[in-house]
Amino acid sequence: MIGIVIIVTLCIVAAFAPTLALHPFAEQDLMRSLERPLTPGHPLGTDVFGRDIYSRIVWGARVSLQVGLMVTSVSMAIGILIGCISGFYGGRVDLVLSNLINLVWGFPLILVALLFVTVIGPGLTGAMIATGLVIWSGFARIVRGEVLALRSREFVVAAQALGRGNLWIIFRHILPNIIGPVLVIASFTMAVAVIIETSLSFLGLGAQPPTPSWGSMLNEGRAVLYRAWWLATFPGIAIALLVLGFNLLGDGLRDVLDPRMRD
Amino acid sequence: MTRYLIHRSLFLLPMMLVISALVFVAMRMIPVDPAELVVGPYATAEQRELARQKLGLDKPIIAQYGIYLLNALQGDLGRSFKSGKEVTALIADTLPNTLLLGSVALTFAYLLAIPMGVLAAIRQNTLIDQGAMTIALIGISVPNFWLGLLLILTFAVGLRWLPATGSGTWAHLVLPSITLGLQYTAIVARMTRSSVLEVLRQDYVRALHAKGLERRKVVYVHALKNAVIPIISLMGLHISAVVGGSVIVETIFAWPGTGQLLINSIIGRDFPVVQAVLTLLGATVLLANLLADVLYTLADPRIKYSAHR
Amino acid sequence: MSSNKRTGRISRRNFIKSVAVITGSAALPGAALRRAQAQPVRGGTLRYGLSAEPRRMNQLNTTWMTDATQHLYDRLVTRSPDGKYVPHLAEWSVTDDQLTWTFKLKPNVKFHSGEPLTSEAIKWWFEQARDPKGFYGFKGSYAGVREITTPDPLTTVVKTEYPSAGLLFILYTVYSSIHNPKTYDKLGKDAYGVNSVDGTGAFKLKEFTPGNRLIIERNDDYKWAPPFAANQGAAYLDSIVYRHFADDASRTAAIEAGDMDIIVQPNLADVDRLKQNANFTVISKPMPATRTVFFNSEAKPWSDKRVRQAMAHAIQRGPIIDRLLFGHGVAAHSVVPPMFKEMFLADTATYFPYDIRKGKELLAAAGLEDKDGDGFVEFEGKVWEPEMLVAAVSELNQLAQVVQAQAGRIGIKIKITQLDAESVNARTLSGNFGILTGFYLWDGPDTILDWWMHSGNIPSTNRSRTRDPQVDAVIERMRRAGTMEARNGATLDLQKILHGDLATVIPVYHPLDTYVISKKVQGYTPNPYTLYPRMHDVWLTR
Repeated sequence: MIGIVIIVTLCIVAAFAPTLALHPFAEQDLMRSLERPLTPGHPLGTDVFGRDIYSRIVWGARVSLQVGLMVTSVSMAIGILIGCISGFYGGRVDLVLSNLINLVWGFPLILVALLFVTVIGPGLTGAMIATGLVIWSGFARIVRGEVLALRSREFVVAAQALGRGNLWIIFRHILPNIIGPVLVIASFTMAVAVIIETSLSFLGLGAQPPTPSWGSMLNEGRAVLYRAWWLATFPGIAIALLVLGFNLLGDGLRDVLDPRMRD
Repeated sequence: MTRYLIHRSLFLLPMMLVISALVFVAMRMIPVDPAELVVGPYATAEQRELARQKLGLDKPIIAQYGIYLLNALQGDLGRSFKSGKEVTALIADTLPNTLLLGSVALTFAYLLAIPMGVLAAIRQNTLIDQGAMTIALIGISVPNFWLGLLLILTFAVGLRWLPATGSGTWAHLVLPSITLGLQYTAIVARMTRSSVLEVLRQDYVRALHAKGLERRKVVYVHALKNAVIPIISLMGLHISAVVGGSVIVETIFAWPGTGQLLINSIIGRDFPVVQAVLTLLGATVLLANLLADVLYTLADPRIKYSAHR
Repeated sequence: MSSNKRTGRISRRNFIKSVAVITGSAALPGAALRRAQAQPVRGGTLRYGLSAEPRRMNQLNTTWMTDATQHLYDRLVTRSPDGKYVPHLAEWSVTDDQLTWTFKLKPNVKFHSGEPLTSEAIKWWFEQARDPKGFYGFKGSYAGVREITTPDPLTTVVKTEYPSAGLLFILYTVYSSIHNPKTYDKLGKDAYGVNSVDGTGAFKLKEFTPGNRLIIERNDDYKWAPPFAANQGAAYLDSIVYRHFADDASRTAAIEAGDMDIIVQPNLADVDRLKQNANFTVISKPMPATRTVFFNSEAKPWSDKRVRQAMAHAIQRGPIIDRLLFGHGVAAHSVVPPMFKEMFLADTATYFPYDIRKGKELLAAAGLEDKDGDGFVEFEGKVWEPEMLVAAVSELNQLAQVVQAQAGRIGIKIKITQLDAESVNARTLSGNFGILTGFYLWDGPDTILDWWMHSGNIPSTNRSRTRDPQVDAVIERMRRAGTMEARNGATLDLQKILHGDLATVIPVYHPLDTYVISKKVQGYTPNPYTLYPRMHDVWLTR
């Protein structure tokens, strides 16, 4: 419940960022740098460049949610495809694919993302591709498991007996039955995607200036931690809140859709 | 089971080859000439060409990979472009530190998380449960780079209780292990709670209850024993995840481990080091996965593996 | 040698440490000097926080050196605190035609291996340094060397083809450190300077674990300290442990938490706070360094000098120094810092002042106008978005973001790409960039002008790809100058052309060189003419 509230609120913030923001996110006023929170015109203070932190956080919500959505939808598509093939066809196909899934799943996400960004070059697009390419295995594992279980169920066997094509069976019988677990994973994936994107931006490999990513804001705040605590505090809270929201949402969805599932 | 294990083990070698080949190709795709890194920006075209020949970059990529593999099999992983040290020496210097940090972090995580999860489960829906689970959720949601900054600010700079960075004494271990371990504490606590709950709901536990066994005994002996199975089995996975997490944590705390070595080498395009560390990491992940499966099978005899699942 | 100084790339700032002139007002607390009078104690380990990662300690096979190199090796010549070249390992004399140099070694000097220092090692060094096929970065400075002879074990005679006023300078830098050729050849150039070194310095290499630490320990046999050192025997410290912190904030946190005894380049935002802390002494002095903006003067439309001049008008230096550097810097109008009084052209301060209107006029004159009214000028029919490369180093990154915003005021929409240093390097070499923020740190700004502006140095050190016959002619005059006066005159002429007209490089500010030192460190006096801090007189209180 709280999860939905957090996510909906942040989605609204992201959608209405141009209205809600008090200043353009890139507008600098060096002579008003590092103003404290609650300064008139700057409710959360300003950063080293005199940019309004509140406005940047508002715009940052848009960046984080966009990245999360892009990454999650791409990885969902890849994950479902591979999971279905692996689970449905079984045999040697499954042997190869399940090993691949396990390998990717076990490999530390941040490292693979780092490697990809190194090859493609820094930037949000690079970060999104990198994250998407490694995060799909979560979907694939669940989908494969579900498909394995469904494949031997009566209605699938019956459909096969009736001579239905595999694709037909997958779309008609399998996919509708795995929507629940997929949604749960999607919610957790959003959380992880946000963490990876902010980590890469924190390392300077994600969003490029002046794009207001919360991760790069945190990194900029690091240098003035003692002089101006607010720079690193508010973006940190924002990241934690968004991730918390998706985790809560995932928990909630799991309780509703699939009480059997565990972490 | 044995057959399954053999089968999985047979997969290890080709998988390792695939990983090392992928990393090799990825490194060659980076738009920076390795010869450039070796000779530096002020070399003449002639010197650059000499370096290319020395590195074997004038040969086709398959030949380069073959040479790399042959050398690697003889224990020669090349020299770091940056420091000039042998890559094997660099890994030998840093790996023990990463293993130390990782094992302390995981031990800390499990020691804290399991009691927390059990307590939350047996006191389900009380304040204790809600409190523990809220803490766990926050633990999962707080990014480790932020947590690290907050801990340094509070305990090293503010209170001066603990050193901010470096290594050498147990005190140096505290902040990095907490930063690295908290996330797993949260994950394991949540998992413990749900698996204990699930076991408690199962018929045989109810039956034990009905038989009049003391509640405490039911929880600790029977429920916990069964609930811990899936948790232990995930340890293998956490091992590789901790290696990943250590990249950021080691950077923040200047901990001289393999994670920091890797990130510095990636940023500095120190190809020989990146190649070796990532391949090593791939091997760790494969082994950890295998370990996870074995533990899972051993812990839960109901699961039977066939070679082709 | 190094990337930073020559190329204007980045930040590994302590790659060559400054010969800085301490101005009267610069914060050199009298307390530091007074404490130095106390009775020194032998022993202890100094923990030293570096801002650049230690690399190979062999100048023939690296593109940069680390602070420890100062202590592991000695040079033939050194510089006293008042800036004079004085003998260290050797006394020298030069003939009136400035073509024959004689170096007479101090007797009884030993390498760490115990072998004596002889003229053979000096001959070997000159041969390595001038080798046209060698990788050595300063071989140009030794290019005039024609013949090296060793009449006796302590005497080396060097004949040059033309007078070279710059030779003493290069001989004094760590890039002319003296090695034992036997050990060098035995280990080979890949392992020498990594696993082991054999110099004559006051400290010996004990341990080098890249990414972790570098430890050097006292050379007990050392009896040949430079003449101006208070301590003429072996060093007081048992050892120095160097650690690298890439991030200014972590380095600062390390000394505040008591993990380090001395750090270079603290986080600027914290300097004022550290000055209030009774546990530390903070020392700042001018640094022979300049932060700049480079243009790719071969890329359209930067190739039109009016466009570059427009950018020069858009840079507003005051707020950058006040707010980004918290006052720890000096506005730069020339690549040459004002501390080099004889070389610095004061007129540069009046060239291209901050003026948005003039900037816009120059752009319009070059055909760059905002026709669609979005606030940004178009080039060849669409919004012009030149790419600015910046190495992922917080200071340069911040500068880049301010330059981006300031360029926006005259209607230029800059796109920033943060890259690692190596990729920035590769991109600039290939010419695939628009603007670049850069940096040098080197105590010979005249040499920087040569490296940065002579068309023969395109692309490796002349990153702006400046190609101007007049500039080339002045630089060639400078190279052959027999006296410092003639050399300085050429330097002044170059500044006039570069900053008054070409504007392929825009200077923004000169940073300060800052150290934070724990109070238990005694005897550390910042010698302005020291490449790296000298640790020979330093000791620790118990």
